[in-house]
Amino acid sequence: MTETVSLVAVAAPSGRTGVDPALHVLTAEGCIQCNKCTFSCPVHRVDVLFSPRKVILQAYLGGADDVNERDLWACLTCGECQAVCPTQVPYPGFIRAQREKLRPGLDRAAPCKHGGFKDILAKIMAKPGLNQDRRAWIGDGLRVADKGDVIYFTGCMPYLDGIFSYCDSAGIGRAAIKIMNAAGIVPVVANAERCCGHDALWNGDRTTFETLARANARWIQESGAKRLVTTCAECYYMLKHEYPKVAGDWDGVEVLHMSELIEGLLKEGRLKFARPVDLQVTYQDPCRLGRHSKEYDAPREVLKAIPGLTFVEMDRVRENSMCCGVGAYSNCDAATKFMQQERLEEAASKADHMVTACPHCRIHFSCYLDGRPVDPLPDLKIVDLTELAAQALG
Amino acid sequence: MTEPATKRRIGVFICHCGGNISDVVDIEALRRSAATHDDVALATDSRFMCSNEGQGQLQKEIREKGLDGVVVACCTPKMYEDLFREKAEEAGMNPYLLEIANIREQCSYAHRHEPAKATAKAKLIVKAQVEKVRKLRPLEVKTAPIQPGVAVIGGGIAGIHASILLANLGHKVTLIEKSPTIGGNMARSVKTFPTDDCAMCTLSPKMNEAYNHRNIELLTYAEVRDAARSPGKWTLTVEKKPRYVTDACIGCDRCTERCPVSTAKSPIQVDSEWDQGLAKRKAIYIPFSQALPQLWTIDADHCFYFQRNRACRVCQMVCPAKAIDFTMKPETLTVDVGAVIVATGYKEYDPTPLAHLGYGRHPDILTQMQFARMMDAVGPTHGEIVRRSDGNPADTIVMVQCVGSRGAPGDPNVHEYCSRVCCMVAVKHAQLIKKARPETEVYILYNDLRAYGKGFEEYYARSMELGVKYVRGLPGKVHPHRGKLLVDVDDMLTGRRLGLPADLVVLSAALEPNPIDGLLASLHLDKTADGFVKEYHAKINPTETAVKGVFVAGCAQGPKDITDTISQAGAAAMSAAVFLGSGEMTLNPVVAEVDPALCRACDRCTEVCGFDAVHVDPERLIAIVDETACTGCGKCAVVCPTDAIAVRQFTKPQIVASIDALAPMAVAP
Amino acid sequence: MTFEPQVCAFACNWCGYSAADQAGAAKLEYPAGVKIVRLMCTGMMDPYYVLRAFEREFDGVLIIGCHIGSCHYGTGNVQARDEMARVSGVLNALGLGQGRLLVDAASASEGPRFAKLANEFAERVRKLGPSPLREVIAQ
Repeated sequence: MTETVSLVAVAAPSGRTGVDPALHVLTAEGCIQCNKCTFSCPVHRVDVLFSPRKVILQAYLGGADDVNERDLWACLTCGECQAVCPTQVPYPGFIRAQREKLRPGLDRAAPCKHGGFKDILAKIMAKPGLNQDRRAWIGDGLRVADKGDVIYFTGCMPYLDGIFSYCDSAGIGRAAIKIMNAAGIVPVVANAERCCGHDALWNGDRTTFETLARANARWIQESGAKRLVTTCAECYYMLKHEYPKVAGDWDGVEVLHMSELIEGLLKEGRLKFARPVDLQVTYQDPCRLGRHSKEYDAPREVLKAIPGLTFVEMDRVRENSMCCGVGAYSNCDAATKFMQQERLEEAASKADHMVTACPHCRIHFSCYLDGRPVDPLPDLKIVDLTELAAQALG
Repeated sequence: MTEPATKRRIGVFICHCGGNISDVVDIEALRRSAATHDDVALATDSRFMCSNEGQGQLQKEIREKGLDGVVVACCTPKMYEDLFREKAEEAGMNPYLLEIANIREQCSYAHRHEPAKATAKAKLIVKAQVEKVRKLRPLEVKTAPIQPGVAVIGGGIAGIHASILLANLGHKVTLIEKSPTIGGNMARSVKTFPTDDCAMCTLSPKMNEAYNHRNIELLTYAEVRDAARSPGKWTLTVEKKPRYVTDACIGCDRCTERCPVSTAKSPIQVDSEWDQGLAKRKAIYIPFSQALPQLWTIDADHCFYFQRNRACRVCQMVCPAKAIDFTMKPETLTVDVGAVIVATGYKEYDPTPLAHLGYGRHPDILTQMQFARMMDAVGPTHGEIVRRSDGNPADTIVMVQCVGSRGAPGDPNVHEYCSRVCCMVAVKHAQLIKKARPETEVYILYNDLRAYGKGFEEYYARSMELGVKYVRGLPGKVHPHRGKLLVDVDDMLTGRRLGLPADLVVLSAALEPNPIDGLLASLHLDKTADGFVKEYHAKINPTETAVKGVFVAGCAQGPKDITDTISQAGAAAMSAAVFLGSGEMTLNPVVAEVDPALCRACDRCTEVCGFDAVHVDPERLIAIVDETACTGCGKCAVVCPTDAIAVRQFTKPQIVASIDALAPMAVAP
Repeated sequence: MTFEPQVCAFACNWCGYSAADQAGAAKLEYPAGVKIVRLMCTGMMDPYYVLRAFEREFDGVLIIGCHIGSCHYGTGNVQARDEMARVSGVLNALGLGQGRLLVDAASASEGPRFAKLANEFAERVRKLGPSPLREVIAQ
């Protein structure tokens, strides 16, 4: 059934839809119903009933608050839709705002996969009385400090290996410290640190997010550090782009993803890759580092600088990169395995190793490979960028 | 899983329990607190909810108020949960929407000196159950058909007895035995304790009954190669080995007489299994004269025809009935049954690793099962108890107990367990020797003498009257000395060191389970630490296993004598009969369920399931729960990365609702 | 006022929960702060429940199942111990270690053992003090 909707008439921002007007979903140049979003959406490819265009249309017609639960949570918030949208409708932001609005009224709790682990972890870290011991994973031979110019922000990393046992997430941290030590940096790893609040924010739990953001911003600002480095694309996005909205702009603190730090250290000559790494690799742009933060180049510069490495791009890269299939741990379901299969097969056709720059990409792809839903599995290994760089140190 | 979104009408019924609760908990305060919760339509109390009056009140309110959820705050659910659910169902409410709030055993009883705290706690307990009921869905009780028929694996006394009972009840039984004949270990036991009945005489009528029963299909010289389970059914793949002898066989024995195997100069020699290695047998043979079926068998592994490129056909040439057929092939059959009984019995431990006892290094050191053959009038020594080394009569016989049993934990050569029957076997053999030849000196070297059963102690006492000597001590060494075997032992009761010059040393070797790892794997059965088949529960359920429809009987489950074996076989047959019952099983709905929209087909649930109850459908790439096998233990739900699989009534939101309600933290966002 | 520890006790239907019933029937007492959640098997214990209990400001978590080798479902209690060992690492890093989580066993006939475990654990948690996650110390 086709309906002609007068877009001009309803295009003006209005409170009728319940959407945060600041999102400018309904500007004069708003959604033109072209459907490019749906056809670029990785969820739609495996679930034909899922369509961002339809959800936006429903919002235009006053039904934003009636978004059904499946549509609300199936979205990966990866941003592929927004990247191709001619009018830049911020669909991930819209979904985030609707989750925030509708979450209190849900009959069942907002989904959090893998046993609700990340969700409860974030809530625990939002408690003021918390007294963590966040350094047990560091091990011998690596130097960290209580005070310094550079903070290594670890986020949930000390806890991930407790649940996601098929990955060694703490290995990424150890590699990061090894690289920084090699460049003469002794980073601060602080017990005051909390979860960055990424999942809380993207799953609509604003209270937990703001508590975490304010707590983190306070101790970071008070520490006097000048640089804030993280190996996680999600933490990076949050610290750089979301924290200023809640805690004010950073005053004298530069937020860097590890790839950016390494690129800078290489340029300054403070770091050298002395040992060849004889692998053929391809690179997975994480959604939060790539599309959401527009940082596509630094990781590639790092890979190109590693001697002995053969780097082959996949076909869908940079702003067209395909999400790892799980967003903020809330949507992993029957469709996810097909999305992961598609991306891993694409990677396996280019290389025998896929490099990730976000521990969550690595966890999600590794979960697929660990679970063996298909036989044979794509012949691919997942390796983190920082760990690969540490190998090249020699 | 979807939980109901509509407003509920939950009724809370609080029991005074005649003072057991109301003397401690302030019922009125509890009632008022319950009435304040979301979705509670009614909060009332009663002196005794379990009385006719209380139950009547429950039913009346369900009907009149249209309740779609009930919390009964009373004693433990172990008492009356089933009863209240039944009453609720009669009144028209789904029984699985009813929960019990345990405010007696776990509240008023445990905190009876702190009434204020008990009342506060009771309020939280009731709230927790109300929150859980709000998240419950009605459950449907389903039935599933069970395939008729039973397979009994193992044709010893356990398998035979269970088969006869089931066949008499009208069930079709397939009795599968690996060796060429049924009868098992009992057939060669000669006599049974404590009555000294002839073993074969008591066993033979049962063997015949099993062989002739119209409801029993006997498959001998056959092994189960694989077992596949589908809901309510086991499909066994059975391989029948070829005997190379057809039914035309008339049992004349000419083939055996002429078979060249095991004759003096024959390069192929084979020990007789029946005679426990004390004699040889031919390649074509019948295991013992009362074997059933009465068919000869050619052992292809030791036959010149098969081993030496058809060099010999003597049996075929002399057979008057033309019953030899060298072209017979193995036959594979599929057997579909609803229940399986594992009755694979035991074998005797080989004492060779115990170097100090010298077994295997001297012909006069035997095990009890070997010695039993000497006592058989038609055995290898015609019933004479002689030294195997020179054929002279054995004047002194020393028996050693606990060989291979009751060893130190961690010792790889011996078992930790007690084999239960060897004390009585030794007593039996000792007193039979004394009766046959009173001048023989018989010593039993023991650690403890276990004569636990009916008539056993009396039997043991009589053996002492007959002159059997019991020495408390186990030997340090057995070694040849001047034509005898010198047994060095410390007698702990007299404190003296003895050197017993034995003509025969008989070792009471341990009972071990038969090697059936392949069978266990296909049936998805586990072993207990001692290597025997794991029963469902050692005390309260020794004949079922963790796998629904699979039962165990006899020494396959653990060492025991014939009496206990028959008892257990009867119990296993009864359990199997009850299971097959009406042909239909009622399924417990409180089992696991998969949401197909969430399943990643990652196999983690199938890996942890101890009941073979969940499998990934390779086409749909979704895990499917077999509700006929799932027990609702919930291990799968913990390892599922997407919360696709959960046990009904115990889903994460339902349990979390209880945790949250009981928690100190104020109402959560 | 002295601090009364709030303990979330997960008990399996066949052993722990029945042991708790037996303790009550025998009129053995333990602190009212020990609150019992019934599971069919401790194999149902998801690390999430432990973390949720602490997030909801319980001071300690006690898990009482069947003795090893006697699990009604075979090896559910073995999985429980494995899962709880993993979450212990997480709890230590969160500053909730020092024994605020205990996995133990009491069979259905061991009412006195249940009461002893409940009393001893509550006392241990009382000595450790309120959970650092507590925002309000309520009785």
